[in-house]
Amino acid sequence: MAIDFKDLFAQLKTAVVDLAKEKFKDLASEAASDGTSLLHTIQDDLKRYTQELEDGKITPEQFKILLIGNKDLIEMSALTQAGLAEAAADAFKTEVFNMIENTVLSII
Amino acid sequence: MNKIISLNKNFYWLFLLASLISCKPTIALYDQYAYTQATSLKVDMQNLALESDSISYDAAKPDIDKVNVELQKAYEYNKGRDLNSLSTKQYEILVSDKEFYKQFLNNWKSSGKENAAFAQDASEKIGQLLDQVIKLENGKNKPQ
Repeated sequence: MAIDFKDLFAQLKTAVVDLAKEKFKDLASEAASDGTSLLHTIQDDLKRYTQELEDGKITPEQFKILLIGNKDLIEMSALTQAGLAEAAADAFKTEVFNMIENTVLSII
Repeated sequence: MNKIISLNKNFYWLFLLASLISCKPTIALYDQYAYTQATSLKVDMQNLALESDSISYDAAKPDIDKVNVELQKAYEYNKGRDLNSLSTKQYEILVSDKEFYKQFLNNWKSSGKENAAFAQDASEKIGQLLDQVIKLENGKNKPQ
């Protein structure tokens, strides 16, 4: 039987919301929103891997490994974004202090 | 008048000192060697994944060991750099036994050879993961 990806994705979204309610009672809506956002991030890959699994091109074990790859990618991407934000803040601080230094020097 | 100039100079030195302390960076500066390591690893690791459908794990073992040593070197190099915890965490994901790359190698080992679709998917995923390391390094501020 062919997998209906739309239906599968809808099921996953419901499962994410239920999991968020169960695990994060006070922050359920934020957790559900984060979880749904993650699902959308991996949607294209998930669709392809699911199709490959259905077609017998990859094994269930390989499917699991590819999902681990997507989890890793989300984590590494978050680290990249955090690092780029720190670098931008450092650059801004340096520019501000250079500007102040030049201004003070010019009036002394 | 001299007193005013002297006060101004004191203010200037105090200000400069405060500025230097405040300007201490929060993340390491760009490092050309780290960038080269990451780009080189991306090519080597992707090639390794691509050949996993045509070469058995045992036959590819010397290549796998070589790439893994380079990966370990890159991890250790990044770990040793000051203010470089984010890049180090990225390498920790790459070298971890529980995460994608090592899980891929384990699967290759147990299967002998991978199938073509998985080899292609794994190579693509490795490329995306290393792109994150490269993007972070490239986005760090360049030394003056």
